[in-house]
Amino acid sequence: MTNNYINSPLDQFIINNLLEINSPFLNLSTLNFSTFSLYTLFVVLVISLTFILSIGGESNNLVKGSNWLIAIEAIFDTILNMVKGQIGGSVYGRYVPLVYTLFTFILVANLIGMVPYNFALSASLIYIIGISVSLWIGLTILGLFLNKAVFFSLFVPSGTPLPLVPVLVLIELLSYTARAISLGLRLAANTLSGHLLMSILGNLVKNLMSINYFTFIFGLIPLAGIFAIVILEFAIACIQAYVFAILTSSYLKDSIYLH
Amino acid sequence: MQLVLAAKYIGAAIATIGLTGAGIGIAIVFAALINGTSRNPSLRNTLFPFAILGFALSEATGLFCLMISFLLLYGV
Amino acid sequence: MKFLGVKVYRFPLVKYYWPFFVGFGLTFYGVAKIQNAMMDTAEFINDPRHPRFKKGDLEKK
Repeated sequence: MTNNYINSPLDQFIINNLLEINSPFLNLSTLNFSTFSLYTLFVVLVISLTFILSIGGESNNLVKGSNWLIAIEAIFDTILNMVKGQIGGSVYGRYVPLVYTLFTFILVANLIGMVPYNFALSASLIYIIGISVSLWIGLTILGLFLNKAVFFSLFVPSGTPLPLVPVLVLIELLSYTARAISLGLRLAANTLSGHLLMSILGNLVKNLMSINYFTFIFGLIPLAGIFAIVILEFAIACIQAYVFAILTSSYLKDSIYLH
Repeated sequence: MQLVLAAKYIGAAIATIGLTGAGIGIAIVFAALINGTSRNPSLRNTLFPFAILGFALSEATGLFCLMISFLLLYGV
Repeated sequence: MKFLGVKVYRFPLVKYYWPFFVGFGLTFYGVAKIQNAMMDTAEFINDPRHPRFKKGDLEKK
């Protein structure tokens, strides 16, 4: 029953190339079809399938939509209310598609990652931090484009005494820059440590339960605790997608309306 | 080499101390939720999403420590 | 308009989201630069997964 190799809990995040493209002149490794691309395809497939099932698909013969439409309507209503509450004003409608896309993608990716033996898409730090850095660059350009030089008033909280301004500008600039990393790191660290925790605890209980019959019975008690942690991880998968969406819309509000 | 290994394990153990702060933070969030709900029970539906948001934000900071600990143990 | 058999509605994507496209482009360029720089560090230059072995460059560095 013993493996002759060491199983590191980090093995579950290894990305394998399923289809490689090589050329003697250029480095085309970006175009490789890897585990990562496969699961991105899965996520897109699941989202499209929900939409096709909800309003009838090719024949489009359903007038009022099936029960699947309730799921889409519920998610859309949540996102619409969230963006309206965070951004407000008259231009919030422009940014609903962006936040809706981010939320749906991260939610489905997290939930697919929770299925045993599957690859967790949002545990890849470089991918999620890449998304958050590009969102941050986009938000900065958007703020500079909409508000011109007034955008820099974001770094001075209203009602600051004049001697404190240089210090506060530095602190606000630091916290504004740290958003680029912290937005993505929050989601990726949650997924990464959650999956590592489940893997480590599962291996420990498996080792305990495979000793003899007594420990097999006794091991059912920690197993129940692990099931509770799995339920918590499902909740975290949904909550972190929600947190990512709500923080994105709050940052959008900062760029558009400045405070 | 043994010394480096020992230092790795000690570092991983020390990294988990940060979870204290996350625990206190989550406790404060839910204590404030109970406080607010008992003062004005009709606001429960408004306060609950904020409490969940605060829970997620403060829990994430704790998981940073846990992630550092795991990376020290298995990643390095 | 239809996409994969589902009715879709028009949205001026480029008009409102061009800052984000610029951001994605910049990040893609930066990550590719970092990746190429990291591949050629002393730790990974002789790794069997290095793409220079696929090109036929087999000597050790």
